[in-house]
Amino acid sequence: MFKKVLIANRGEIALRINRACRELGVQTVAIFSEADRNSLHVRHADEAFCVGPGPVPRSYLNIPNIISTALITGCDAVHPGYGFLAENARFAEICADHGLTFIGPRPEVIAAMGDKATAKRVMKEAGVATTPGTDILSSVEDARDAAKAIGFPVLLKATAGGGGKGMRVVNAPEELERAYASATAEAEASFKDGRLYMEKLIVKPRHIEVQVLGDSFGNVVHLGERDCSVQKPSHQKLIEEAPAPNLTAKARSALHDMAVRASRAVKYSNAGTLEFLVSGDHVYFMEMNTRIQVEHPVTEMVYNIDLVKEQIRVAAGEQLGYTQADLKLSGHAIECRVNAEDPRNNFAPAAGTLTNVVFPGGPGIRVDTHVYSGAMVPPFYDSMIAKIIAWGETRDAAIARMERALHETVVEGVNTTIEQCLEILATDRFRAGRYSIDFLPSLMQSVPV
Amino acid sequence: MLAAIGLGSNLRNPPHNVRAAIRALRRLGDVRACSQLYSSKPWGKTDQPDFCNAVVLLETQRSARELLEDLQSLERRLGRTPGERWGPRVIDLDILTYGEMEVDEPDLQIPHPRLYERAFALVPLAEVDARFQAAVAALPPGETVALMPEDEQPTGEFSAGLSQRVRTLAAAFRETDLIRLRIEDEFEDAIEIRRRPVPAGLPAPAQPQGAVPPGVPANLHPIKADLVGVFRFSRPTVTEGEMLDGDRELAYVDALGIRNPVRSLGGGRVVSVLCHDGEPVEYGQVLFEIDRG
Repeated sequence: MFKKVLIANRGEIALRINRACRELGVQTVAIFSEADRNSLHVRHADEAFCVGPGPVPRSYLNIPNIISTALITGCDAVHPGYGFLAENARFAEICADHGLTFIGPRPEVIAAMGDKATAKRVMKEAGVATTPGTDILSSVEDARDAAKAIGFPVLLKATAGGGGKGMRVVNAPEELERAYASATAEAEASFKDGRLYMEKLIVKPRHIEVQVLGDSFGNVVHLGERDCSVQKPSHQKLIEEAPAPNLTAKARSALHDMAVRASRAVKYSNAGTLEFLVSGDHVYFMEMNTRIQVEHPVTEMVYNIDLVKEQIRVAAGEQLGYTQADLKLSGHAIECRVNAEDPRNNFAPAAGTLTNVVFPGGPGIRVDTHVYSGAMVPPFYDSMIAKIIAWGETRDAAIARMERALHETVVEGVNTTIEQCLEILATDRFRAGRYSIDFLPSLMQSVPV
Repeated sequence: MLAAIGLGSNLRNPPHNVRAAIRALRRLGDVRACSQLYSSKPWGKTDQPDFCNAVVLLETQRSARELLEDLQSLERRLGRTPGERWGPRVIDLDILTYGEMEVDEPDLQIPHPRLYERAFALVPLAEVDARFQAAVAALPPGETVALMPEDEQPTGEFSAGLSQRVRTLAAAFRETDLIRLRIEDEFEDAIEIRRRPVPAGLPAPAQPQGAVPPGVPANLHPIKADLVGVFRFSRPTVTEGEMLDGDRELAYVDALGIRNPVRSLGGGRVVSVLCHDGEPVEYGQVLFEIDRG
């Protein structure tokens, strides 16, 4: 096991990692920016070093100062958390060059999964379903044949495209010719490149992801799925739950099988997440995140496992020590993100001083947070200030518990997403567990501003 | 834009709530005028305290809708107590007028639709805006308000009020040995009083604000580490009290095997050496203090 771990992050995840290290008997070194001097992650660590001023590129992305801190404090490993340097293959290599173990997968796996085209190719080769699509279309006839094979509705996209230019939704065969002509013309005008390709349009899909865990001996297990379909129009997740409600047995086993198969194919070690779009029985791979995720606690609650400890254990060269059959799902867990932002003002992040903070407690409630009464929310970083997680024996029990916990929560000084989470939990669609990624955007439109 | 804001409270200590809200409104704009506090009887339920009302004229850069949001946020902030998410609002804030503008939307109507029927809004408004004096005479019979007693009035709250409090505190302060006193109230208003340093046996000199206490060099300059690494003295080793006649390398920070010089950036007297050879230093850590003279 490691002697001392540098935590290359801030906020709640830095505290989360610190807790795991403490329980494993591993010493910790925190890094912080000048704006975070009074943050809780600084106080909980054994040692703490300021690595730069508030702006992220000069502190939490300041690789020389972070590595230097690890070396002068005698660390033997670095945990990157999520965001910042977590999926930076170059940083993982630099750690290795300085004799530091990067707590995550190998750099080449991070690099391969970070490139969408490579990731999709690797997944296809491993037998994972990706969104059906074509290469560049040679003619409208070519497009017609492709659409017949893929099945309507389809999406025509400009190969040079971006920002929706040269993109057309085609719902039926008779629309194809016209859409093809106008998309080509638009792409030609916008990018001087009229070439198009086609993808299947997945209508109102669900965003479901599978947690995997691997060790360096080739053992891989999955820890079920999380439903992350409650997303803002910016695709930022707000509420996540495990397991996914009303998932067909066929889709569930496909998700789990593909996740494990893909992870084995890339010899994945450490914690990772494969994100899929799901529509009925059909699942389509989107991307793989080679890090611990914000929403990992819902998985921890239903599998009674400490994922961050597992990350540290396997990075230190230990075996998983259990198989898929040993893992038993129990109950249901929901997470609500408390962001310092104003839901009524287009989710603009809010900075300021938290004049009063009271977090919930009681049976089945977990709160992961780095803030406290009197803490500052600096303007430089992510707006998330807390995660509230509720576990229940059933989904209904978890929802009731979450509502109870949110009503207990007080955050004064900045606007938060608490009230919006309560609104979402109260909707029929959420309670029935029948929602897709269009749910929150349409709910937001129906709320008078 | 000049907006008239009506304030009302009948929970807990109403005059206190209204005065607190007036103070908080200063953060939303420039408070141009403030009426006296009035009291009115609640009708219906009689186990409630009397209402306390006032009107503030606020010069604001905010649009009417933005102002409404600010006021709602202020209501929540002043009114909420832990555990009482949906608890009663301690203070009601309404936009009575907003320049000459008229707004008629479901959640925002300006001028306030019942302005001309309500003495508790119209009477204080007329006090700060003479255009409404005629309307007071036309109020329905029975619509009356009374002035709050003198000792509940905000003593020129937004201008003279603060200095009044400071004077009272300063008088009490002089009778103690305290050097510094800071008082914050629950609405984030803070008053800080410091005792001016008085050298023994001398009359207090007239000092400009922000002056440095005696004994501390006036031009003390910190030399900070700009990266993380191990601190090492350069040769010859600099000592406290030493005079530097120009820019000189005092030390270096060893980071990732690279020697990063720490320079004095000019001459002066080395007042303090704050690091030991071989000590790890962080970003921004003060290594030396130099009096530039």
